[in-house]
Amino acid sequence: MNGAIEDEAALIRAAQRGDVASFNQLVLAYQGQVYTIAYRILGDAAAAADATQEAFLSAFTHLKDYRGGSFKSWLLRTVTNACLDALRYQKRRPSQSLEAEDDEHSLADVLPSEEEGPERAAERRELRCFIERAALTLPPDQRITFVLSDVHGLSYQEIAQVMNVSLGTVKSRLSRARAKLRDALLAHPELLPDEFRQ
Amino acid sequence: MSSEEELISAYVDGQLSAAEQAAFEARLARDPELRRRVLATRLLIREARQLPMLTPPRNFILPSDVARRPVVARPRFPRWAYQLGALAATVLCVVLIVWDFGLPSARPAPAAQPAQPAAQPMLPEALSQERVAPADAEPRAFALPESAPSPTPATPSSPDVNGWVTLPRALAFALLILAIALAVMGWGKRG
Repeated sequence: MNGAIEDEAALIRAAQRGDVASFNQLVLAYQGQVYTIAYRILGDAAAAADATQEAFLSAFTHLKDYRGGSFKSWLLRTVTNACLDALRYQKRRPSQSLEAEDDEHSLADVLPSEEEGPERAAERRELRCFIERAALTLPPDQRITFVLSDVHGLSYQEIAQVMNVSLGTVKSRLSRARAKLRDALLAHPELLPDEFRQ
Repeated sequence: MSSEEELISAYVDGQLSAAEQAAFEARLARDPELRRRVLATRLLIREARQLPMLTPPRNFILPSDVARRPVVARPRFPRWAYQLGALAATVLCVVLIVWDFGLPSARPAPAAQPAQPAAQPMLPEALSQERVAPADAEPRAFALPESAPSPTPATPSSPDVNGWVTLPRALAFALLILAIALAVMGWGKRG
């Protein structure tokens, strides 16, 4: 994240003057978040890496167009655009299904938290795997909205800035995405906690 | 999308007004199916937030000479725009070819050509009135009298023999090249 950046605005100004070293400090600060968002949208490590590199290169090239405001939102717009380009390219290939093979970022490797037992932790991992894969079946606009909102915790306003749409559009896309994913979850009661299995 | 789904989404995000929230919760109290959907939506959001931040497979820092590299402005037209452009260029090309080769009425028929000199004397006449002194008004090659027929058909027929490259044909050829180029660009374009 960008917590390590002492003066983001100064780095941006220097990068706008062509200072690549300053821009690379921004890259190092944001690359985890940018890559993770790209991966959640594309569902493929190699494609996510390509989109991330494309996004940073595009950001540096167009940094003169940045006129202040949230740099993070501006940067996330470049990565979502790169992801949309990649998704258009992917449309020519067979789409992924919920039964797709695990990628190298499989949640199966995520360690359980200390307060839950191994069985419950395994159930939750399975549930998160399902959510992660089900999200990849959403239409791109809904998928991006869901990822930005419910995975990365951006506000409606931030998502509207990133996607360059109105607040109403954000709410509508998010509610559609949630409804589809929720209905997919409810169709698999074995993944749900006990209170749903009645 | 039903407004009920937007209500559920807004409710779990705490975006409803106090009155809307009270009304929604009253419905929740008497509708177990709605309650189940709200619970599942909350579960979905809670688990989605727990998806981990990933470690990038490599650093994405830019090379130090990236600022000196020439920036190639890539047109960002969608694939369908290239395809539409190729189609339009092809159609125009065909229209021009048909017009140039296919329709007899589009080109002056040989029978009509002897009449051409009859129309031409108007030009020297006009010129003689405006620019040419009366003493110089000697008939020129193109200013044959109306009664004098063209001695040979060589002049009218010469475009068909030596002037194969006409404007419509050149345009059609250019459009054909454009259509091929657009088709190739569209083929290599993402999306």
